[in-house]
Amino acid sequence: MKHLKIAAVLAIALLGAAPAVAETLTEQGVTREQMVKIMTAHSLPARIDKDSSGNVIVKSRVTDVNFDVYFFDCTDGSCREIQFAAGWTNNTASPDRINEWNTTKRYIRAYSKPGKIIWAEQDVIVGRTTTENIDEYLTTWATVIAIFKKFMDL
Amino acid sequence: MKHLSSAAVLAVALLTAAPACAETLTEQGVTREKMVAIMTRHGLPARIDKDSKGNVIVKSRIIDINYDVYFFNCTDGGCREIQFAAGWTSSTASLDRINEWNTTKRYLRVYSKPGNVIWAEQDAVVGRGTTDNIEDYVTTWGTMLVQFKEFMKL
Repeated sequence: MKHLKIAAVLAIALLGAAPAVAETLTEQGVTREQMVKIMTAHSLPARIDKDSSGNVIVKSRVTDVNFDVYFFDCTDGSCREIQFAAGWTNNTASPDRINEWNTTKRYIRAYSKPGKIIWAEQDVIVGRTTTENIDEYLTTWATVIAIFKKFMDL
Repeated sequence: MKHLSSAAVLAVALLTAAPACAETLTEQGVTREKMVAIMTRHGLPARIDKDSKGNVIVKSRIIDINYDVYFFNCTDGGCREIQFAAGWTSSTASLDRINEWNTTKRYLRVYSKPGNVIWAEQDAVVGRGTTDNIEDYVTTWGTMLVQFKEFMKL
């Protein structure tokens, strides 16, 4: 009985793992590997992959929305800026509807491309911020992309 | 001569004042007062004022472009999120041109309103971030805003 109890306590401790130690980043920002760690600690699936143009990105998903994380202004693999991006190919929203989103909502910059394509993107400067702040952006992105999907009937 | 020398040294020291100590922010983010301090240290004019709807904002300017900083999700004056915003009433940009900006550029979310009105906005989560990182956003905002003005022929 005692063994089971200890095992249970250990299991709970492991499952409710404490967030990774907060870290203040340099001007160089984050590596893709670090971003995977931050996202995993946030309970998001995350893996390094390439997009169709060969850009090295982090792929993830929140609820039923697949999204990518892009990296910019990189020095030796560490990048000062990131971008969350999600796209759909079954867009029915008019330019006016997209303008309405951009007018009334924050964070996500929305645009259309030919062929019923719509993109939602959110840019973040990660240079000199903390890993906890990036965590906050993950929460905000998840919330707003769900609102976006509903708003655009995707 | 010696007196002048000391005064000169002091003057130089004051003029090239060292950046204020970098600070990690709580979840509550920044107050308007702190935002003014960050922007002032960055060499920008900044004052607390109200917009036409009575929102308490920080007003500033980069070169010949006036802009405002809005504050969201505030608790006892400390705000988790901010937004840089600049608007014009002389826009001749079509929805296509605005979509082209939103498609090809990062950071600024752009939209039009009736009456030749165009807005450029940039959102940032400052909760659990740092004052250094906010300074980076101020720099990026300034750079992008100048590009935007040229792109839209404002």
